[in-house]
Amino acid sequence: MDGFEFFILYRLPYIAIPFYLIMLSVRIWVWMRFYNPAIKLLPRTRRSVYGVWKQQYRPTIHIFPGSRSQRTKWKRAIKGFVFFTGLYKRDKVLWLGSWSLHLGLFLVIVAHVRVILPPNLEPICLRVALIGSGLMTVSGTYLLLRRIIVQRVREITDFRDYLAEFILLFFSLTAFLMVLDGGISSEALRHYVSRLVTGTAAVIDVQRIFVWHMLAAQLLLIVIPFSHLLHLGGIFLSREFLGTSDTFAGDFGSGFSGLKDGQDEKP
Amino acid sequence: MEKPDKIEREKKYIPPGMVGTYMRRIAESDPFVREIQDEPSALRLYMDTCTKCGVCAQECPVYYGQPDKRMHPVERSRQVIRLYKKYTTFWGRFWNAIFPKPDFENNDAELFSERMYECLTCRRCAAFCPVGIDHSVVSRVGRSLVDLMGLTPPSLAQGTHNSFETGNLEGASPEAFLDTIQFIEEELKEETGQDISIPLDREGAEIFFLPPSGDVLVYAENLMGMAKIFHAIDADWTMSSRAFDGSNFGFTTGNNFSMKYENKHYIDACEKLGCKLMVMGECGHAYRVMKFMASEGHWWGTLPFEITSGFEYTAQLIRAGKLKLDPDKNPDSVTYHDACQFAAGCGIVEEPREILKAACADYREMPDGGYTQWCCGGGGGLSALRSVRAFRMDVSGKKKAEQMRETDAKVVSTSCLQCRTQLKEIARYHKIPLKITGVHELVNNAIILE
Repeated sequence: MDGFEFFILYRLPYIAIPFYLIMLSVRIWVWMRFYNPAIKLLPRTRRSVYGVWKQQYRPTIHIFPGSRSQRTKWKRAIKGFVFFTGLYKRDKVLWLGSWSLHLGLFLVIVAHVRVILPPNLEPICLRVALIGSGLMTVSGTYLLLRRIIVQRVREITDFRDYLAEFILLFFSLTAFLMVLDGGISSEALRHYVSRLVTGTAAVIDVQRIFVWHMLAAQLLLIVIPFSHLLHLGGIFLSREFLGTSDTFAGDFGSGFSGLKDGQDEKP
Repeated sequence: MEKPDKIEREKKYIPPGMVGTYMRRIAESDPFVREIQDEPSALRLYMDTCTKCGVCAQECPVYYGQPDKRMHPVERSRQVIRLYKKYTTFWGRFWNAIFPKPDFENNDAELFSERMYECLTCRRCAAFCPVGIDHSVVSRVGRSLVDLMGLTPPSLAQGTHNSFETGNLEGASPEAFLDTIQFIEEELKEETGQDISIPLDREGAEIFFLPPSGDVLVYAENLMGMAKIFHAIDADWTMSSRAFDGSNFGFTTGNNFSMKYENKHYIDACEKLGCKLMVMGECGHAYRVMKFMASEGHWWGTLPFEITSGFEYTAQLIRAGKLKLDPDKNPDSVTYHDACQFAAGCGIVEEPREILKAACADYREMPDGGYTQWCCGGGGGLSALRSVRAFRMDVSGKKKAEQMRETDAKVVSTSCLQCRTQLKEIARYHKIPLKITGVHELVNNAIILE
């Protein structure tokens, strides 16, 4: 194990992971503080934070307000969140790229669960990882090309946006090449994680591409809190500000059915 | 002399220290930029979550009219967000200390002002943005900064000034208002042969009717339509000679103080008359501020009256079979343009259609109508600005002009005074042979009085 490998595998994680967790916490705290400034009263306040928020800070700028039941709101939110149906209705090509990228990311995360699964499930997990990283690589390439080619996207893109997308692409490409090359055995992975947790560096039997993949993953962790890649929390909170969940699903209002708050959809 | 309980109530609902903070802030050396710090908290969230995918530009009527960087919603919002970052975030302050940059592009605050008024605040971007960003909120923050700098376009600033001075945007005196009401009553008598009165300042009336002043002083047909409706159902209603303008320029200019003042003006009038229901006329800004911000946000506590729009009120009467309308009185084909503030801001989409279908013989849908309509191009107060007429006709109104050409209707009805002005100008400028009306103007033609 040379110095580069040692740094990437056994030193950088101690910087990247805490950095990511701290910056993510800061970001979430800032969002929460802006969403509900009454949080700043904690822990000294005796009054209910929710009560203060409701009375003074509750967002009151609505879009497409009311007009449908809670059940419909949840249904639309879940449908929109899982399938990006709102985007699908506007731009099918962008939807394909964007949804595939997120699906790929989900599959890659799922595939990592193999560390705690029985060995006989390993081939399935590797197949999932191959599909996931492949999807991410293809759709990530499309999104990057779109950013370069489409005028309305290019003219608002700056260096940091390109950097974040390059790192994401680097991450997915190294994952794909690594799995294509046979992947890393669960045993080696467990060995590496245990060494990392106990802080005792040891040589592990992995391909060189694993080191590059680890570098990409850690760069991604460092970049995410500062880039447009972190929009997960925002998509929920921003809809709270809009007072609707509908834009997720691309369905608006009650669909001319005359429904008001609290009423259910007509069968 | 104010009632003690009212003073108590206002004291309770104005956050403590707000006045002092505001005064201290404007006394700062750079008050303009600091002002935005406490603007809608959504700003910070939007700043962090925009994925720069360009979907907003695809849906923006201004970018559609002129697809370049300057008109891009994200680029416009960036002008505000960079100021926010520069003065309120650690990294913003850090980089500014090393590489100081002027607040505004080319050090030109007027250019910044122009750019903030290139957003129509129609919220179409918010409807389609995958992460739910509402650029109208950011534009409004920018406009509030513009207002604080004294760079609000003169006609909007004049309207706000008039509101402070006289309680209405036009600056009309109560005498002028009384003359107009008298004239409208005479017109109604001449047209119908019946004594249809427009009661003023009647204490204890059940309904307080609040149209925008333009519906009294310019397009009186809408007021005549409402007066006939109230007459037909024998309603106990009144208007106020002091607060007869249900509009809100403070919302448009980003001036929160003005927005609240204009709103409070007619809340006080309704309360003073002891009415139980406030019916608001064809102004989306005022209705949105009243119903969804002042009332739901409890700006002035729990209001002792209900609030509804003229559209909801009339549609309800039609559903209940209380109004008799003769569609043949409006024989031409009619289509409807959804005003942004009513549709995307208040969710009023179905009611105007119900009314038009009942009042007109041939109703047709406008392409892309409904919650996500294309703005007329005069939204966000732009239709009141003569100075940007070329922009309104060739850029922001381009899409609407195309839709107006495409429609096979002969009449375009709309629910907002500003849209009405803009659509009329578009029709004239682009030589599109369409008649533009209000919704209650068509009810005025069709209603049968017994």
